[in-house]
Amino acid sequence: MTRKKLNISYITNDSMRKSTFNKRKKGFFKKIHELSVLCGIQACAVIYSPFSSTPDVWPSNSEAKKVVEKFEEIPKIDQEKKMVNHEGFLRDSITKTRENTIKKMMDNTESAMNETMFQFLRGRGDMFQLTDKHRDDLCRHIDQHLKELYHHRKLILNQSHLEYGESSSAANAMIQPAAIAEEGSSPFPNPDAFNTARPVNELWALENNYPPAASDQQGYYQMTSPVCGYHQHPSLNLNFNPNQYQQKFVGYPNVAQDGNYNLTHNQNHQQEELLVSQMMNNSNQVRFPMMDDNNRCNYHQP
Amino acid sequence: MGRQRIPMVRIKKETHRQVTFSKRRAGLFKKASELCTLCGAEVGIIVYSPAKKPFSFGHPSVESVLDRYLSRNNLSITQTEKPQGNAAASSSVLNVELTQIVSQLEEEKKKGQAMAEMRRANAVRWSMTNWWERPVEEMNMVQLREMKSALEELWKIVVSETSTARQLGLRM
Repeated sequence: MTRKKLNISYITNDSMRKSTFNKRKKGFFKKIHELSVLCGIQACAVIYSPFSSTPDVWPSNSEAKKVVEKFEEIPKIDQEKKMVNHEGFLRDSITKTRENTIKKMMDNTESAMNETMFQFLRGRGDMFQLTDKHRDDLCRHIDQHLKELYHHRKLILNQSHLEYGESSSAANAMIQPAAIAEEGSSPFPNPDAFNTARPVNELWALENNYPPAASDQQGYYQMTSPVCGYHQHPSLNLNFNPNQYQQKFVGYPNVAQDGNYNLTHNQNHQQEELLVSQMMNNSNQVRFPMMDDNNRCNYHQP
Repeated sequence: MGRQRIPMVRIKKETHRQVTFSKRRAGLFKKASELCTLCGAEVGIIVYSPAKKPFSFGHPSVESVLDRYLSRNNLSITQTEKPQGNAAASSSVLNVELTQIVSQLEEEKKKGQAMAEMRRANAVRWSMTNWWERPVEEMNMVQLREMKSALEELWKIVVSETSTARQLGLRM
């Protein structure tokens, strides 16, 4: 069967329409036959073509009539529960597809954000041109990741509390404050909120006494730390050349007040596309990349 | 197509049967929908689910097709007009919209795949250099501590850059 991109609209050419009709009718009957056999169910179909007044019927006139009569015997309410006409069917399909698309978009955005965060940690933050919106989202993502971190840490602490029992006072001291500090605090809504994170910071400081986990096979000194941001790189000096911020993207999918994503904006696509393409262009370079694209942050600019 | 060939016999496992019904019924209705749009056909379908519930599709409507079939009204209601008329307008608009949204979905899927590829490529280099890209669940205490510091540091940097950009009047 050929796989060509078919535009679903009325075929104006008479002979093409007729031949398409015949082919598809055949395929359609095959499908309904398979459905009835595989699922062991009753079914019937009636097709009126524009070319004849007698309908094409499956499975046969007598069988089909039986199914129809049975159908008409049941109360209208039950008939209509799963009844759909052409328009309704199309609308339902559109809605479902739209939902899937939004889900996919959100997943993709999440992945892009995550990857962006990692790039920063690798010291490659210089490859990005970020808008404020990007930065906000990035912070939110970092925040989210930190929450997961805390959560997992709590799990570990609880576990080891069980293992070490009451004798480990360090572990003990940590359990309670952990519960207070983490539950209900959103650590980083704004720079001032850093202060609220302090109790948690003290908590972490306690862990200098914490016995390294038996599973810590890598050893503390051998680990490479994630390189933070790009403070090694001159890009943090803010010689922004306004010209280098192109009009390429505007941000993430807008969620309107009623929670509907505005799919017609190009923003959503361009947002990730830009990040992703930036990453893909640079992903193989280990060192500080020589930017081919001179539109990016220019360190040569005074 | 046919990712797997299945024998054309009643499916034994009930859950499998139900799932198959759901999917194939949807596909059947889709084929019917296309038939209507492409060829201007009038179609009526009735199928019963394994749970005995009736599902029906009809164009222009289940009722009108049944009426016509059972000879209650032999003429198609649209027969006097040029085929399609108003119904065609709205269904073709919907079809266009559906095509659009489907291709958008495909785009997003491709993007997702591309990113997954990239992640896989990076995953190879995980052990020493990129331990912090692993899921948080796989980290030990020491790693968590390191990660935490790094992220907090990063957060500060990003925030400060935002404030500076604003000061320089580059809010965008």
